[in-house]
Amino acid sequence: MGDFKLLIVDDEESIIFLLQKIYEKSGYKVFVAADGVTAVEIFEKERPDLSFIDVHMPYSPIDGIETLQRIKEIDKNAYCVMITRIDDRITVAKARSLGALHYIPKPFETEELDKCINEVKQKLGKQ
Amino acid sequence: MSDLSNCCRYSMIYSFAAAGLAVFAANLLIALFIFFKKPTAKINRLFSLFFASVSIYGFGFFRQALSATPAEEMVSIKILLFGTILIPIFFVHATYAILNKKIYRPILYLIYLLGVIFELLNIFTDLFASNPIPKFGLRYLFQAGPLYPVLALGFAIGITVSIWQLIVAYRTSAGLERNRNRYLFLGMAVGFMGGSAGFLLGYNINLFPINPFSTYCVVLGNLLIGYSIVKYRLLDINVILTRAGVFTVVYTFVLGIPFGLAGWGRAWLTSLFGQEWFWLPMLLLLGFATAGPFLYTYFRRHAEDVILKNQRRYQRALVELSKSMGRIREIDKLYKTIVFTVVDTIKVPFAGIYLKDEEYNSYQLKQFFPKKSQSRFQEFVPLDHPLISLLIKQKRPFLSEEIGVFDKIDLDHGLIIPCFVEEDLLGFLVIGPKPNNQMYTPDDVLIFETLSYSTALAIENCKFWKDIENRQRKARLQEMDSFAYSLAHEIDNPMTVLLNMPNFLRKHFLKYISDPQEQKEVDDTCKHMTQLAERVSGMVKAIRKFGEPTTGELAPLNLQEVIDGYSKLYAPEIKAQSIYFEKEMPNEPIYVNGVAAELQQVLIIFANNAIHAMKYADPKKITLKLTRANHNIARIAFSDTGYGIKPEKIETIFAPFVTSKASTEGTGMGLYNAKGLVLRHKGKIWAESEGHSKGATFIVELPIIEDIKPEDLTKKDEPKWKF
Repeated sequence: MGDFKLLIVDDEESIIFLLQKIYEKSGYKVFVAADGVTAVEIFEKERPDLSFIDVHMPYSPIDGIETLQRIKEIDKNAYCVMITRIDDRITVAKARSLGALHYIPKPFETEELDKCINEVKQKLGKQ
Repeated sequence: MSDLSNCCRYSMIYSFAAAGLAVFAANLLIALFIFFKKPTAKINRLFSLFFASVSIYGFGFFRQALSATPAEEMVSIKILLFGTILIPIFFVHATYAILNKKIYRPILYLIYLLGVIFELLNIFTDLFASNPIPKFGLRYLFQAGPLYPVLALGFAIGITVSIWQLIVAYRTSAGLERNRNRYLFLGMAVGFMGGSAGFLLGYNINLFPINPFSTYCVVLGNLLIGYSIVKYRLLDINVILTRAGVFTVVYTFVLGIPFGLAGWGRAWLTSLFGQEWFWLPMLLLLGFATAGPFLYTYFRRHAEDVILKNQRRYQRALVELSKSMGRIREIDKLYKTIVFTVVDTIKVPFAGIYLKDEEYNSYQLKQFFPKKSQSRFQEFVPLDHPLISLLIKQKRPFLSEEIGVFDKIDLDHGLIIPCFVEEDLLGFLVIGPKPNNQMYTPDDVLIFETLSYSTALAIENCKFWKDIENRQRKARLQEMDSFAYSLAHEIDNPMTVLLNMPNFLRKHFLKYISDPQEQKEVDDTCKHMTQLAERVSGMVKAIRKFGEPTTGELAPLNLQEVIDGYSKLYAPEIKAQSIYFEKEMPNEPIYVNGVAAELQQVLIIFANNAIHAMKYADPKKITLKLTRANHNIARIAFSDTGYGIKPEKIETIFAPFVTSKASTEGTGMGLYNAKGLVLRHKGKIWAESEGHSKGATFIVELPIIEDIKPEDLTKKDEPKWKF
């Protein structure tokens, strides 16, 4: 279990706090980033199995979509799930065209995230 | 002595002459007036001819009194009889015409033929009257000829038949017509009773003072009839009788005292003043004649105050109503006040008010009273209805008799009063007949006209306030929408955390609590927190959906199919709640641009509310009706028999966070979301309810699209938001 790496990108401290707590308790290796640039740096270094990226990050120099784009430039097979507070068709379409795995609107329940994790685990053949 | 007999003779001559002149002048005036009031109407022409005949008779009577030679008298009596022959002919014809009765044609021709023969006999022979001699204080007066009784008989038959017809008509008619016929009968009876006494003159019988004073009865009768025909629709019989009565009494005294003094007290006067005795009666006559009109006016007013007490009372009430209406701001309250006050004060059996509704191209029934009169009123009168054109053209109140048969409202001798603002007919009041067969007087109509102006102004006033209120509410609602939207954005992050924290705690830390009792308590508390958080997060999601653009592209679809799909999906759920579900749809398909799933979602929201509202209702029934509101608007009406909506809530139920359910049962977002969905379909949504516990109807109107080709309807795969 310990070898599954998660990257959580959100400029909202409470979300990072929540997800880090939950997924560290679940035994995953969790990396967090409060902005897109840091997230890309972490991704390049750590190569997480799955990234949860908040689309709407007003405090980040680059928003979620651009973060996704840069991550995909580094590894086009990277699994990324977009989290957002805006149900914006254009954003969704963009995220899909950039190869995002899923799209989860806030407020979410962690079960939805768990499903994504399980899906990726299966794809990677990890337990 | 010769002076005295001269004086006596002259007083008689002048009495006869004055009576004749009065009949001549009064009837000529009435004849002209009636004719010029409406020259094209057959009834007017006939009555005009009738009065002209009486006028000719009057002229003959007048000339007869002044005839100084037998030859002059012969001309006068022929003129008099010329009129007398025509009178019954035109009277019969006019009576039948005004009562809308047909005379068998040959009989009518026969009557006129007889008239012509009589006239020829009158002009060219002396068979009716001849050999004038001095009598009754007149210098020369005719004597009855051999055919004089035939003339009298013909006259009597014509008059009797007509008056009999009037009696029958009076007894069988109702309301206004009854009043009109009463006038006719009264006037004719009075007139002919007076006039017929003239026949006796031919037989040297004169019962003083019947002649010549009975001739004045002709004038009185004329006045009654003439007035009733010209204004029959608007005069109270009591009023005219009172006026005539007061007039008679006042002038009997005014003229009677000096004349009586001159007649019976002459000996006494002569003993006092000698040759100059006539000065006192003359002076008295002068003085009384001057005072007469004032006395008449004074007594008339007081007499009318008494008989019109009731009328004056409600007229005052209506004027008060007119004044106070401007202060009412709620239009429904205004309608209620008007309708109720009218019924209550005038004691009419019913009243109603219709108002123009541009959207439905008709005048809609807004309020009526009392409840049991509902069957009299139809819901609406179309803008192009003949009644509406009539009201717009004439701009005055109408009596049911003037309108004739009217298919939309059962007026029953009532009144229709239009309300205008400038040229625009805003609406109209419908007022039932006055009690006890009384008729509406000109005063009434005047008051109603005032009432209608005030009503029109008050309606405009209410509309103005409502418009302002609507704008303010709309602004408030929009503000609320955007506030809710930004609120949802602000709280979705903290909500996410709050929603998930309790489960996190339960999952990972519960096991460290050793006491099972305490463990359970923490577990329950966490679950409760999750539930609360779920509810808030539900609201946040609902608010966001409201502003969200439609998920599918609007495409032509058949509303019948949408509703069928919905009922297949949802009817089992409704039936499971032991609710009777009924749907009505037209046979021809109705096409709109839309997304089937979203329209069905709207119906599901309605159904959820209905199920909840009918929890304790009996019967439980949902009716889903699809109709065309007009040629380009489709309407879906969703009715339940639940607890309904309070009038003050009906506007706000589509705002966010409004719920009638207990706080644990709903988010108050259902109708708010439904509104969002309908707005995205460029439709309208509103609710109607007669009030608490009377059920509710939710209505959705969508623009219809015409000219649909089958290929437009091929279903496209709708994109899903998760991929």
